[in-house]
Amino acid sequence: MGLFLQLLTRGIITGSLYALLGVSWGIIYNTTRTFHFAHGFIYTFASYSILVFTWMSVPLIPSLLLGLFTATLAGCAVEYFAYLPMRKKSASQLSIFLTAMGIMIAGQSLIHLVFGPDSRPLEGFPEHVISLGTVTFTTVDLFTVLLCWIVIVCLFAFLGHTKAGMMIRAVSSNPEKATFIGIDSRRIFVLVFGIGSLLVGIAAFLSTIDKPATPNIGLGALLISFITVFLGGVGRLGGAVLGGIILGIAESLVIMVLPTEYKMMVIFLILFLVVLIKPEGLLGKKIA
Amino acid sequence: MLLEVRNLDVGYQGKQVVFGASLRVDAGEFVALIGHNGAGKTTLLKTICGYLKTGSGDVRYRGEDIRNLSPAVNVKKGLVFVHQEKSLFPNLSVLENLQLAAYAIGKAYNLEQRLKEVYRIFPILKDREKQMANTLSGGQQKQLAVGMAILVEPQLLLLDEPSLGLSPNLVKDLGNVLKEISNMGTAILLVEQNVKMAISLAQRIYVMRTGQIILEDTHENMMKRESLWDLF
Repeated sequence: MGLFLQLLTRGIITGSLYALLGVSWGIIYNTTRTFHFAHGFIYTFASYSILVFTWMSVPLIPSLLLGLFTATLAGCAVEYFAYLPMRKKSASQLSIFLTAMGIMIAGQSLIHLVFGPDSRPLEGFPEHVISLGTVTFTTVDLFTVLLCWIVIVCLFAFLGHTKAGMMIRAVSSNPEKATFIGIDSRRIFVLVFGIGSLLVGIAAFLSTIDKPATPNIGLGALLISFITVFLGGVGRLGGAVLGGIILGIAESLVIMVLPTEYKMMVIFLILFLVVLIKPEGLLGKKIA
Repeated sequence: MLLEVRNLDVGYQGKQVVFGASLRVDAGEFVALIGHNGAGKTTLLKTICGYLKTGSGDVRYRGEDIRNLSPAVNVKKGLVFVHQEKSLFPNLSVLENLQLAAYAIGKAYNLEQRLKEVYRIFPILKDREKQMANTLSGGQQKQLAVGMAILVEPQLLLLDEPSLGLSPNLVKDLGNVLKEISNMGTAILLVEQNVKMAISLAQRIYVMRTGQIILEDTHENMMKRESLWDLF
């Protein structure tokens, strides 16, 4: 029982981070229908940006804010300079996907070239062990869970209660109509790329205070991001949150019966089974 | 003259759909464009509002060349297009759909007053304001689509087959509402397959066949015609 509770706690911590990754990619995909493969690069870029500022002796919190700012700008730039011109020329989804993949690979290679392959830890965050009965976790874990949920709640509040949020939901549900009533979809697209990049930057920060950054950390984050979205249901941001929690807990509990290296296999197996039974995802709606 | 279209050619996917169409709408006028299915009426409306690009010809709104302007820009100038389908945001409530129409063009400052006006014309929308748009009936969805359009006080309303899919009673109600909107001074260019409704409402009528406007006549003359079959 003690092991189960410990693993469940670990699953909730990981799941919270996965939920944040899911909404970061989901808000972009749900609104723009762009398979933003370069999201993984933004994740890596955010980690290294924060690291670079700390190496320049900037304190941790300002480094975090500057890193998030540059990651947000990078995400907007990818949309504005790469995807938007392609959409204007009516490029196919496949062409845009390949471009995104190119940005991801080239970006990662560039980071590898500049910073080398070594692991880079983000130091300066106080880490203490907290014990609650048989369950132990660290202050980093607690901070991760709290920040993830605060950010997710803020995102839902923003989407539900602000003019910009309403416009994002409108473009997401009916981009053609949005144009007819006067919404500039291109601006909304840049905005959601900015929001998605900010969120993935926060996830990258939380991950880097726990584990050191390497140039290829973005791929795993990207896989988790879109699996949670398709698992939870495209078009439903709440689905991405649910998908993230399920994946986090499943990934954690599976080590009770299987070695850790099988965790990705289990994640894909869950996605496969859900899509087989409910192709639209757990909270997705059937398209008539 | 509010809207002037001259010798307009439109095509997409390599095929020409509209051939040399010319029409005009004066301020406050109610004009109908009728024709059979596939005649090019919706294409013409989508081109006027800026959604489709023109091949050649001229589209002027209040004297300004609007051929290269997007629908988003034209809405802010008072030229509003209501699509026959896809005219709502299904995952937003009735109130949010209406609010959004105002926010999108920056007219939120008189939103409360405009909402009152829309609810006066469509009382059912007030009762359903918290309901998600995709749960409304077909007729209520049409009302909401028109409500969103009139909320922003357009000078010219382009309506694409608003009666499509409505029962005869609802068509009659819709006709009354359109008449009221027209009486308030909004110019309307109505595209309809419901010929009887369109002719009864409009002051001037254009008839379109296979991409060309083949007739322009007044309400009075069209009402006098014994048969309309020869036009289609």
